[in-house]
Amino acid sequence: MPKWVWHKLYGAVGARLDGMIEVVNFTKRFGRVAAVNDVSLTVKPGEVFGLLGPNGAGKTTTIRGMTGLTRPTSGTVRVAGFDVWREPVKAKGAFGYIPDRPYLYGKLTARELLRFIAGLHKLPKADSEIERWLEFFGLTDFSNELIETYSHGMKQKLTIISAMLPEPPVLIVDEPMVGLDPRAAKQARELLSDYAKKGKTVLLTTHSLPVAEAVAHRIAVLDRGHVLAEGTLEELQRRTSEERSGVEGNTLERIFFKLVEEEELERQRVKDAA
Amino acid sequence: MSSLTKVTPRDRVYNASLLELKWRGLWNSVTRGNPWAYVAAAVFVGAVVYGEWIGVFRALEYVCNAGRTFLDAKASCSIVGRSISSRVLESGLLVLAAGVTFSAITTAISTLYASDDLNFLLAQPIPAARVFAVKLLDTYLSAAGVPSVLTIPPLLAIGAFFGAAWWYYPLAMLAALITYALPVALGSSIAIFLMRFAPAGRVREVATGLGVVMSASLVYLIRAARPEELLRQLGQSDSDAAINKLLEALGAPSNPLLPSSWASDFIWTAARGDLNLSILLLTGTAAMMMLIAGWLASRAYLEGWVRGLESSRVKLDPRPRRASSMETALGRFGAAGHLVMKDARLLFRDATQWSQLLILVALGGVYVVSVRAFPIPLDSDQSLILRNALGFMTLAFQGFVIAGVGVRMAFPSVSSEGYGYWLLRTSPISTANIVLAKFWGALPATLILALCLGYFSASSLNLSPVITLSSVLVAFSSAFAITALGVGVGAAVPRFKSDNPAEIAFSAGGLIYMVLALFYSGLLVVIVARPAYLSVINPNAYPGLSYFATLEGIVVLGVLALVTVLGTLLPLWFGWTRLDRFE
Ligand SMILES: Nc1ncnc2c1ncn2[C@@H]1O[C@H](COP(=O)(O)OP(=O)(O)O)[C@@H](O)[C@H]1O
Ligand SMILES: [Mg+2]
Repeated sequence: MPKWVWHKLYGAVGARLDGMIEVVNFTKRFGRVAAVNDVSLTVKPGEVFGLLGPNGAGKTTTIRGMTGLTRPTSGTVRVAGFDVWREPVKAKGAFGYIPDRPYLYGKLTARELLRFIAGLHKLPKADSEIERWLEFFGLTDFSNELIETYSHGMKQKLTIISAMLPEPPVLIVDEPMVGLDPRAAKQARELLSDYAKKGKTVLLTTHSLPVAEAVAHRIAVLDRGHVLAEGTLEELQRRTSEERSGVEGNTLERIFFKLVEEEELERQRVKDAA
Repeated sequence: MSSLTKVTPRDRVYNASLLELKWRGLWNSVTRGNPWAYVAAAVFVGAVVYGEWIGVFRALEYVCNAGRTFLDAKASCSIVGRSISSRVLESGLLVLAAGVTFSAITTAISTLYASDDLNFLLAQPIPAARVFAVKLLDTYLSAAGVPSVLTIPPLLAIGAFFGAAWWYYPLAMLAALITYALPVALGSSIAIFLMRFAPAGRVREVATGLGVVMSASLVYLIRAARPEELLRQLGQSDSDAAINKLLEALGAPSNPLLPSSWASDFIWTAARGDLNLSILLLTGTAAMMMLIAGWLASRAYLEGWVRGLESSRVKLDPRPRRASSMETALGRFGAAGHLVMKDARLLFRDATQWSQLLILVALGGVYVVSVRAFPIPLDSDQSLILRNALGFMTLAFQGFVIAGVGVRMAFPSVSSEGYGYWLLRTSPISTANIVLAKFWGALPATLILALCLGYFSASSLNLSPVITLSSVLVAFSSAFAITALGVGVGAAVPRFKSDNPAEIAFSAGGLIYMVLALFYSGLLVVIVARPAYLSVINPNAYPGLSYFATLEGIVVLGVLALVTVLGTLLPLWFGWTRLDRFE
């Protein structure tokens, strides 16, 4: 069977079975430092997956690996069954990406930018959708102004629209709430939850425990490039309360600190043994 | 004992030096760059320096021997030769100073007011005056760096030719540097003034307009000097009366009020051992301009910067604006068409970008006017040969002009995506399509320029059909291949993180592109050399275009077509495979 047929089948069926996002043994080194070390994740359709970790944990690096902005040192990343480095156009047609820093073309207006996105994704009849989105985020009044005059939050909203306008089956979001006012943050949270309810796949990173707790069905805790634990909120609670007695962990915050603490102890043990 | 020798760690007090900071940044980027790029850069710079040196030396030899039989044979250079060379030097300085003037105001605005590091620097406890001084240096380097470097070898060659005293070398270089520093100081003063008082949001447009007016008047002054008139008279200088008239015309500098004339006057006399006082005039004026710029800066730099951050929102208009017919038309070409449309929008909304197009038009204008004005004795067989030979030379020169335009238009086209590149990178458009879109976007400018140059120089020289056709074909070929080279090399070594767009063109990759572009022009010249040679040496052997019907002619056309196709596709392919691997 030719390879492309296999890919087609895999893209259509395999992704359904295994998950829309598949990260297998992903490692990324910068020089000799591993920013992400042997991370594996699977995210299924209809799921909001949270990648949680402190600053510098490797969340952004993992996401850049999924979106083709960084080449894995080893391991593979597939979105909707397509390897982003082997079949970039197909993979990129299947996801929308919201980066942590919203750099956009300052000399375009919001409408022009969104029409440009629609053109890149070959969306037919995007005009009414664009109006609907601008209205949703309250950007209609500014829609003919140059983006360079927008505030950080307005640009962030615009990147959210850019990613969601083509209605991709997978949405990859890096620190979605940073720079948004409370109302917009709530809007964005609901948007992501509703998007998953439509059967789409959402992966988001955050350093904020409440955000992860509020929207994510499943969570992976990342620290210094390692996945410390992965599972639903209940599974994580069970794991941390079983393993060690003492502080009873039920909020994510407790769980988080406990995991980081365990990791710290383990590291110390290895060091002492050596 | 050990407790005594233990040294309490004392924190070093860092005395923040902005220059040191800049130097460190430069050093970090040089030491982490690609060594091959530096080898290429060194080869290129070496070739340019050597070429200038040889060229100036030979030209002086030639010109100084001209008219020697009639006048003082004992002097190291004939009076006619001396006059012509000094006039050429003056015009050269004037042309380069005009170029500096053109870009000085907009460059000053982007470095003084729009650099990314200003947010940081001006928030530090550093006097704004020091930030200004560093930014002024930045402005000088990006507006006048290349002209300064280009001027040094000829100055050395002039000194060596006349066996000048040791003090000639530093003073001549100083004179040239000051000549370029003046427009920079002037441009910066105007920039400060505009940023403080011009209507907000229109500053760049006003600045570009001023730049155009100022450099247009300088170009006009160049025309007033009419160096080619001198050559014409030199060609006919077979009577004493003509020579006397000529000497009279040459007696005074053509623009006694311009700093570039003072500089050339000084350099010229200094090379032959006389210390001319015009250097005092020059340095005095420069010092005064610097004082004025400094004074303006102390009054208005910080305020203007703050003001520049505020936008000029008049009234919001929320009505939906649909795609223009142009956008719809380009959209038919798919994602790449939308990309071309986006780039066109960005180009015409950014004054520092579209002013490059004006430079292009100005360059073409000067070129065509100069070719037209070239002194050619009419109606004789000799003149036909001379004209065709000249046409062949302009044909070689065209590639140089197109390469110079491409380094501003085509080479930065991928890098100009800047920090926004993530959007294209994560969109369903292949890198090949991105690079092709950049190519089609840059091609109209270079192609129109190339065809205009080819057509006008051929028509004004009244060339033979073979050379005319060759000229047009070479224009086509070099526009395609040199644009592709620019886009391709630019895509292979993209710089998405530069503080200042002007520095993209002057990176090591830019130099590699220039080397390859010049090499390609040379290749084209070699290919059409044979038909050009035949039509110059024996114009009647192949009347009309019949040469191209011979087997040899067909082979030449075939080779030209093959070279063009390969020269266009290979760089683009190289560019997109490299960009594909970029992270
Ligand atoms: N381009 C890079 N070069 C070198 N190191 C990098 C680069 N990008 C990220 N890192 C390092 O990788 C680690 C993880 O960074 P990042 O993924 O941005 O963390 P997070 O998004 O979780 O805050 C950090 O230690 C950072 O310094
Ligand atoms: Mg991050």
